[in-house]
Amino acid sequence: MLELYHNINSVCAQKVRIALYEKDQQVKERLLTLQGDQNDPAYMKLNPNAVVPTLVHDGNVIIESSLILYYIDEAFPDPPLMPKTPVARHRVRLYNKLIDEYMHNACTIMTFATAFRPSFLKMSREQWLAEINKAPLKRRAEYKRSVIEHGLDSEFVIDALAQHQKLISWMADDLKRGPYLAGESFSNADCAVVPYILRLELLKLGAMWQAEPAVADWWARVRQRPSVKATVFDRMKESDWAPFKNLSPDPWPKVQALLKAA
Amino acid sequence: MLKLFTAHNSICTQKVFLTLIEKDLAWTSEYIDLFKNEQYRPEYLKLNPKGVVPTLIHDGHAVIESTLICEHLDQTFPDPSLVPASAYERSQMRRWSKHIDEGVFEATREISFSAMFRDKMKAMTQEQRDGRFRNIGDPGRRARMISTYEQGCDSLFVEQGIFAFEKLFQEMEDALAPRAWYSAGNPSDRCRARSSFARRFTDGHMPASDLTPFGSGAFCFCGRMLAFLRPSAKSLTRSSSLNVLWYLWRTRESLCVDSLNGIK
Repeated sequence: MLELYHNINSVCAQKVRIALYEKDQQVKERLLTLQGDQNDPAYMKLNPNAVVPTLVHDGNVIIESSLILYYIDEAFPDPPLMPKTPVARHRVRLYNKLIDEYMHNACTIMTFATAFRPSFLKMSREQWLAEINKAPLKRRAEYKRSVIEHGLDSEFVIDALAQHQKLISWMADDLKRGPYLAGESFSNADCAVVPYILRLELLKLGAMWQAEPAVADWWARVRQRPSVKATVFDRMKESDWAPFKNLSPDPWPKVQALLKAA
Repeated sequence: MLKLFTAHNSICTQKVFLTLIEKDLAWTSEYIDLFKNEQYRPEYLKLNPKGVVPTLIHDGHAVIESTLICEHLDQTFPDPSLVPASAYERSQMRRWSKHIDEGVFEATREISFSAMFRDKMKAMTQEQRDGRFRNIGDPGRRARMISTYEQGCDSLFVEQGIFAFEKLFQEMEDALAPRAWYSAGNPSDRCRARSSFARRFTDGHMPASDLTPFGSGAFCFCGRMLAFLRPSAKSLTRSSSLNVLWYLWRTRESLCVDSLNGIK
């Protein structure tokens, strides 16, 4: 039996839902609000980092979304989400590594600096600090503190944008060689990247790939893919869209200026 | 054909040596002098855009990131395998390497740098040193290096690094302690399990599969840092399983000093 602890808007949960759909696996869903329930001691026994997703398969607990992607492919090999050649497999792993080591934090920085910031600013400083300091991953709490305080003026934003640009340039490069990031078929690289491109779009930063038609084409294709439609877009309710509607101020002019200055 | 770009004392390169030796593969090495900024030469950056070692060239393809090089080698040269058989055990193995890539590696770098490489940096000309700092693309990494250069062991990053190792050792203890060779049910079983384990590695017949729960990369890191921190780490004096791992690490042929320096 498969159980998935997740949240609709969590980028890491989205990639795992896409992969499970691609493998035609049904899961028992455990939805978290991430408004404190991730810090419950019972959940932290499964996931000591207090993050989603967590996959439980026949009693075995698997954490870390990129490792869950590899796990799903190994436990349910058909259809494969890893390419056949070692070089293409290495490419998939490089995407996952870029995301784990840089992109994921960069995405948190951009999201908290824009969409999530207003709801924190409604609280007192002590209140929101207490909230973000509950996270066991201390460096991430430090990023959040900085961007809640300074928005897009935070010192971390420039590097976060550079990481997004790096991802887009990798994609543009790889998409010259095939319709998907690691070649001819949709793979774990595409599963992993989709949520980050979606997030940029939700933050009204889609113009970041306007100079890369191959990336725009890929996105137009994969967003129509049944797995992406069913597990990401069709799952978003009004409340999931809400933080990204009426972003104020519109982040693009400031981001455009930062990109020009870099 | 396998060619490896290496550097003296590079812990990430050592992981790859370990994997190559365990698999009995032949390779050629090309030495990169990190203190002469050779890693930032344009032709090397084409192969390895981060400007770090190691880089493996396999049949003309550049394979980068030591953890991924070890996975690549295991898939292309599967015998003997250094990766566990089941999907679940593999995910556990990858947690160790992830832990190292996303925390322990930094801790290792900061501790090693403050203790070993700082003096070498001091001996550089100001221009060389500035070049070294400037060439580090990742601003976080640059800030940590400048801090450990300026403050040595007093840098906050060194302190955080030591905490990271204490935590790692505790997690290793938790993972190792339940293994059969320590905790077989009754005292005589336990004794038998221990002595058969001891015999295996003193005879030199330890199978590569004994490395697989950690993956060779994690094993190499842990071993080196056990050696480095052994006199001071609290958890080491408390923990018999870590001491066994330390012994294992010292006695394994692929981990002897020559091997770790890439001498065949």
